[in-house]
Amino acid sequence: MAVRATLRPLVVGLVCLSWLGSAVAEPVEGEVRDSQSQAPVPGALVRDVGSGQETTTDDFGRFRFADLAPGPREMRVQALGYAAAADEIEVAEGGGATDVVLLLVPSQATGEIIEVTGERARVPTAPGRQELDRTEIAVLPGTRSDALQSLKSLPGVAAVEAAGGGPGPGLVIRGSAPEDSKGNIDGIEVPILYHFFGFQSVLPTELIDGIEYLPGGFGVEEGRSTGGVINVTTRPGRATEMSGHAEVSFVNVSGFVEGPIGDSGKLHYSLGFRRSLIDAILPLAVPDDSGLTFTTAPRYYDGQARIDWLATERDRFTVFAILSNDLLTLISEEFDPNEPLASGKFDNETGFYRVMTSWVRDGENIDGRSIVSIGQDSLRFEVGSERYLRLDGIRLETRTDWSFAASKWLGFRAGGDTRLATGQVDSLFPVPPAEGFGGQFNFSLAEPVRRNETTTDNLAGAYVATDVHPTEATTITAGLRADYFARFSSGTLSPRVALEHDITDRVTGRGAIGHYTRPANGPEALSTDLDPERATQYVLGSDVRVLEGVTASLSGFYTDLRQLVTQDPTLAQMDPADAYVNTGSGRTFGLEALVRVRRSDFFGWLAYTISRSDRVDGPSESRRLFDYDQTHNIVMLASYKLGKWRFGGRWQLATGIPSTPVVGSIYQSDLNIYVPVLGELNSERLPTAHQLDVRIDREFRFDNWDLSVYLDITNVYAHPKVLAYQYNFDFSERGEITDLPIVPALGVRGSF
Amino acid sequence: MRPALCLATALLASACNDFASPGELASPQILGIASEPAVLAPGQDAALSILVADETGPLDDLVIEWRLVPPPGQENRGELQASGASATYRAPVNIETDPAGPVFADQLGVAVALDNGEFLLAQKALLVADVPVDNPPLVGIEIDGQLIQDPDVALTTGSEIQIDVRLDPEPDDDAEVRVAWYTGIGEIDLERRTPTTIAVERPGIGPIIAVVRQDGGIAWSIVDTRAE
Repeated sequence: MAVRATLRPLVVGLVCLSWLGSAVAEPVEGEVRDSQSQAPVPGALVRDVGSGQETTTDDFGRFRFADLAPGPREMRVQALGYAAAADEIEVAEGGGATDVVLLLVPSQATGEIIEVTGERARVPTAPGRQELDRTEIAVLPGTRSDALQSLKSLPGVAAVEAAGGGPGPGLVIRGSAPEDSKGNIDGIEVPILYHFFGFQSVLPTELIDGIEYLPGGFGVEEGRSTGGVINVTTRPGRATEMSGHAEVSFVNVSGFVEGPIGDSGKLHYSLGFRRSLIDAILPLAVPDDSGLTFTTAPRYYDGQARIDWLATERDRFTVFAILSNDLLTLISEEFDPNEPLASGKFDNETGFYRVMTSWVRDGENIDGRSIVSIGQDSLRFEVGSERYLRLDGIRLETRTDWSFAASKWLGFRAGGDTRLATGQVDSLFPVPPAEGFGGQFNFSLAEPVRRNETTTDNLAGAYVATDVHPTEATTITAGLRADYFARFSSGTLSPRVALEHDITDRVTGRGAIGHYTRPANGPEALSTDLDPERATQYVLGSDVRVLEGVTASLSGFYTDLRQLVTQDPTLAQMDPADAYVNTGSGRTFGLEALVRVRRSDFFGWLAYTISRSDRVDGPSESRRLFDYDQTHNIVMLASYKLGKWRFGGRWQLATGIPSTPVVGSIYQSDLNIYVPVLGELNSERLPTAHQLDVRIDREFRFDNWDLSVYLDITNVYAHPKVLAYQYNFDFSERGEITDLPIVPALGVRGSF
Repeated sequence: MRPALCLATALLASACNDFASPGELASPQILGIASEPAVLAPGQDAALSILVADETGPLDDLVIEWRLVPPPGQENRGELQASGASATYRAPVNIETDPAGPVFADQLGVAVALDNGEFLLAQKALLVADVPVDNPPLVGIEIDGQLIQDPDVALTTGSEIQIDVRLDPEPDDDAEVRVAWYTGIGEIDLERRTPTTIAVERPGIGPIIAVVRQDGGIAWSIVDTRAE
């Protein structure tokens, strides 16, 4: 069983089984379908409990076991967005069972909380939590088939491009800073989830089993985040036969292969690799007279390898390795008179790898996982000819999460994680401004800080939680998490409580209150005397099952932020290396609404978020808008399958983020540069942005392989989205930096 | 990493914008403020001057306000006497100097009123050392290798001329000399490099201005040209 089941409710619905057992000596094969729409469910994990063999359904929901012993066999099925299911089939003497049909019930449609095995207390779902189905996100318009891009269509996620690239998943979740949130791959934190500040995710969709989006109010098992958490779970390779695909699109070329190792049915592998193609295309799109030369146009690659060993019926061991590298080198012949040190060259390389070894135990009453990971992060910026920042670090991490089901009414969970990290910093680089600086940071004027030192960033966390199920309709979870940050010699305690109550058969109410902390990270972490940032989150929400396949949810949130890291303006002048201080505070609050439809051959959702996020930088400072505050964000999305065609559309409208006006400038005669005179901080906004994305998919099925073609067009009506303002040399004129007007992506994929 | 993203965006944006460059003198600009000498001895007087120009050349008869504007947390230490377009600064007598280099004494603020009612604002640091430092020894501007001494130079529209500055004595190889070029007659290839070229684009009268900065000092030279 996937480890998710140990951390939150196991939802099992009705399983229907039909089989025509006439074929003798045929392998066991069949199909997994949606119980409501009868649509095939790709990517479902089908497991024969007796032998431990498992396989994953293909793009058409088909599965196949090569050799199962005759007799009654317990089959378990899991798929993201569906209730896990278990039932028994009969394999006839001679080893035959064909046309087996396993039906899965969409979890959002049922909301039922039923145990797969044993009797376990359920865990409340955090209000606003969403799971994304791989089969849906693979065809979402505007994502170029990139699974993690789909996160940007969820309520609570701001439509902000510039936020990407910071530590964490690079998303502004419920008004929190990008570095307030974190992204995990199989439970281990990774420095980035996206290549190039959000352009493309570091994991191919095919390797992703599911994405869990926790915008807030999550349990004690997740630490070091005051915003949200993105949990990406990879999936094992198919156990029965080799399969794979190759794909070429405007964005990248990729290959993926998976299959069994040997004949035991207990070992299987998957391998993936991608390389960008935009570095070949982009230079062709840049005008010759632009003065811009790409020495290395944006180039990225990533690779993944996974081996799974089903040691016993209930124990799985996995080794998973991921590698990612981004490189961009560009040279501009244009000279910015106000940024002489930033003119000319920009060179950025970002890379990381992780090798994770995990053990997942699916016991009768005790289940969980333990992970050991080793990895390396590297980062290099070289700007102009005189400024550079080079970071290299290795890290050894462990994580363990275990749950014990004492009874149907009571469960316990405990776990912890550690990180031993050491790195080398070599820099001659200005200290970046903290959030709320006003957007006119002058790189050339800022005093550079020279560092050449070894740093350590060791930390540890542990938690305990209990899940109480006092009535059939009510679940309460209370937990306590302790974190210790060795670099800062500080520790925190984070109590959290969550409640879930089935108000009626169709309505479930949820609430959560919790304390959250995170250590300083990024450039702030070079200081050692900062306290962790702290947040208290209050979340209240409900889910309503409106109709079959139609759900609606509403969540309200309020987050109180304290000890935020800001930059003291006086220290920034006198001692820039130690200018960060914990004097900031803030709050975010808002409402999220989501109506989601999953019907026969159709899915879609309407998401709306209204929120406000503001900050106070110090005791004598006034309240101001957060840099990424976004009042309204509406996403409408639909995808319809018509035979071998699929048509989809996505429309988004979002308030522009705050901006600080420039009201004048002062010429610095000695330096021959202009310094802007800023108006009230974040007192105006960029224009409201809206765009329509469309997508068309077409499938072709052949005897031994399938071909699919898609055309994904982003921003069809070419509405220019303003990302920021730029100014002329003396700040007397203002222009707009806009997103790409229209981005077509054509992809071709062959699968076998 | 966000500032790095901003830098990359700014670099891309600077390569794609349509703004006029400062060297085009599309609107009135302050090109420099000079103190003579560039670095004062304690108690020494210095003459202050300012260069304001547009595409037609230096602008005279401007209303200028001179002030000492102390940085936050500091007080004025020297004295300023201003009269119209010129001013005199007297360095403080009791100021601790540093043998390693000039020390900051005061910050000069200048406001220039334009005919359209707008103001140009500028600042300059006033420096003190045991031994005064002169401004760069700028002799003049060279066009196509010839030092220009005539006040009025004729150029051919559509031609490309090479421009350079002449300093006497020539600076050492490791000296940091920064030159900024301005003109109203065409397009400068590299405004902050010397030598460089100007493509003479349109007939008319306009200046070629070189502003040279070295060791805290500043000097400028102006050639009036007539493109035919």
